[in-house]
Amino acid sequence: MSVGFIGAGQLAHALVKGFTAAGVIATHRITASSPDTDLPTVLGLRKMGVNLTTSNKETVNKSDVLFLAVKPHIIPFVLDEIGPDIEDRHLIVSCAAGVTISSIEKKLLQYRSAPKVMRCMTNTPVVVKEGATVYATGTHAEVEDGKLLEQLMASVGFCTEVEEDLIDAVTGLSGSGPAYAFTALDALADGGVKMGLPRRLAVRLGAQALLGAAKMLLESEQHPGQLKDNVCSPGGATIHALHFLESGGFRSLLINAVEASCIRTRELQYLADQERISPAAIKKTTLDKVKSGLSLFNNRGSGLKKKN
Amino acid sequence: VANWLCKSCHIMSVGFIGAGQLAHALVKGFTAAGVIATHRITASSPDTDLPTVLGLRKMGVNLTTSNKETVNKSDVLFLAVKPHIIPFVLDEIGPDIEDRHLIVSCAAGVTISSIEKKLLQYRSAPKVMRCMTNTPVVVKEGATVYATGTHAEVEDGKLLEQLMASVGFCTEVEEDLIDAVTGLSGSGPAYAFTALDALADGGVKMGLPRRLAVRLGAQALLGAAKMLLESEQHPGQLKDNVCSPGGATIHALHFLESGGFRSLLINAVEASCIRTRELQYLADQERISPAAIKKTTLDKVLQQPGVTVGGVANGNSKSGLSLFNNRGSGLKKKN
Repeated sequence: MSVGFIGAGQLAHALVKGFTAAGVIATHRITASSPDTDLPTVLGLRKMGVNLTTSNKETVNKSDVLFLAVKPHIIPFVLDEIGPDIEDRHLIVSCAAGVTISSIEKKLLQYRSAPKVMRCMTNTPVVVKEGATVYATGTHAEVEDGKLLEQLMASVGFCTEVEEDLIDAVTGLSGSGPAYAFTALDALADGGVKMGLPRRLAVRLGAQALLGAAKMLLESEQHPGQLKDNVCSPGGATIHALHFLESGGFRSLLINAVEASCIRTRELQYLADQERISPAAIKKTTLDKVKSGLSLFNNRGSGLKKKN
Repeated sequence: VANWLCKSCHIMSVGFIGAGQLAHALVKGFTAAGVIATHRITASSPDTDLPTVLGLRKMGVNLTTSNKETVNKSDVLFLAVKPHIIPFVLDEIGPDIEDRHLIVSCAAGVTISSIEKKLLQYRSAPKVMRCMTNTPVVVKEGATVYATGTHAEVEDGKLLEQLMASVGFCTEVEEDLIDAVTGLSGSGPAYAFTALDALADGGVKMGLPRRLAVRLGAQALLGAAKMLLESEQHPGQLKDNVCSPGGATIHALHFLESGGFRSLLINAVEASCIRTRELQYLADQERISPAAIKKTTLDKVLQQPGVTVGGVANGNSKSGLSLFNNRGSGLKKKN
């Protein structure tokens, strides 16, 4: 089984790094395509032994499982370009936030009668094999296609199937979650440094404390509130600290963050569905590189129709 | 299980004075790591009904109500009681400490010098170490630092490090950093549990079932922390890498920053550290009144064999229990 990535950016790089560390696929069976051959991630992929190309068609031809790992607004271009090359064997897995299965199927149905499409939302910790992934199954994908994807993604972390309508919420929580964690870790380290710790030690201890606590919760039947109670001795240091968090509305900020990310995801999806993304909103260099043989939301995709 | 704790070909026994959350978590971690067999572990506690006591017994640990028995059966002795109990314990076990014993205090805010001062009444060179760990040792992902006392040798440090490294990260530090470590990684899991509860609430608000929301939130934090530990990059750089232009994540981050999210965490670390120093200061000043110590605890401590109640022998009529007495031949209860 061969795997292909349309797009060779952060996501493709993280997934390939995780897959190869997990030993679930050999790098020579992986192909990735990108118009920009100078990206650090492209160089990283090449170093890992992945077949790099500037041709999306080549990636399609060499793959069975095809990950769409490009930014959401690029997806329509890509689908129009590779549509004619999709075969029965292909399993298309879109990782693009906010892009619905039905929008992808609608495009591909111009080329094939039963395109096998799945949608997944993962996150960057796949790179250390501790990702969080959910996936939803499209109209023509079989049970075994789901199992195949799950086998791949479970090799790099937690993976479960969900109904598609939950994916935007998952984006807000575990898709964006690592960014909340990195912000917290930076602040915790600042706190440690303020109280006298050297920076490296403060970063290490903060990260280790968060990692350990998260692992405790994953392996426990207990409520996080109970686990919190267990570490707050009467009149002790920890409960004093917690009071500051609560006074500042710490919990509320995190709820706000999850909500904001989810809402923005839905907003981007709505904008895409309305076909209101102008060429100007797409970086000019990207558009130029993508130009060869593509049209934007065309029904007849036989060549470039450039709209101004 | 080939990696048992040993020193000079002598397989070590480990004892815990106190059989509460900390002892339970450490034993669970040590046994999962295979670094010591449970039959070589003894723990003592006056209260035999604690859930943690039952848990320890289930794991095969030797349970007793006698601290002296724990001392006699151990080489490495963890003091896993609340800070204000430490002086009582030291007075009780002082006479039973031998040359082989390595005393490791896990009590927040209790200084090596205060422990050495007490034990020097009984031995000329008591081997004392101080450590600050945290509860994730129970899943072998703890964060531990330790400082070495006046009479502890290099190999004692290596022995402790071998034990604690089996259950997570462990490094030696100068003692003056330990209060800050308490504020950061000692209390840190509580900050994380609070965050995880809130993240799950956020997921549930946006439509996820609770169990899935808890799972995804915890997995996201775990994965991010692991990325940072395994990366040379700055956390700010890692944050940048996941914020695509105009995307969902940067919108979310704006809410965190607007609310002073970072500042709340700095406040928390600071508050925990300051409270630790405060408790240490209060202990040093011998100002903890009997009322501050739960009555039941005192009663149970008084019931221990070998603990006597003597009359007041010195002239300072301080109200409160005499902690850190110079003449520690028994409990002197002052009213």
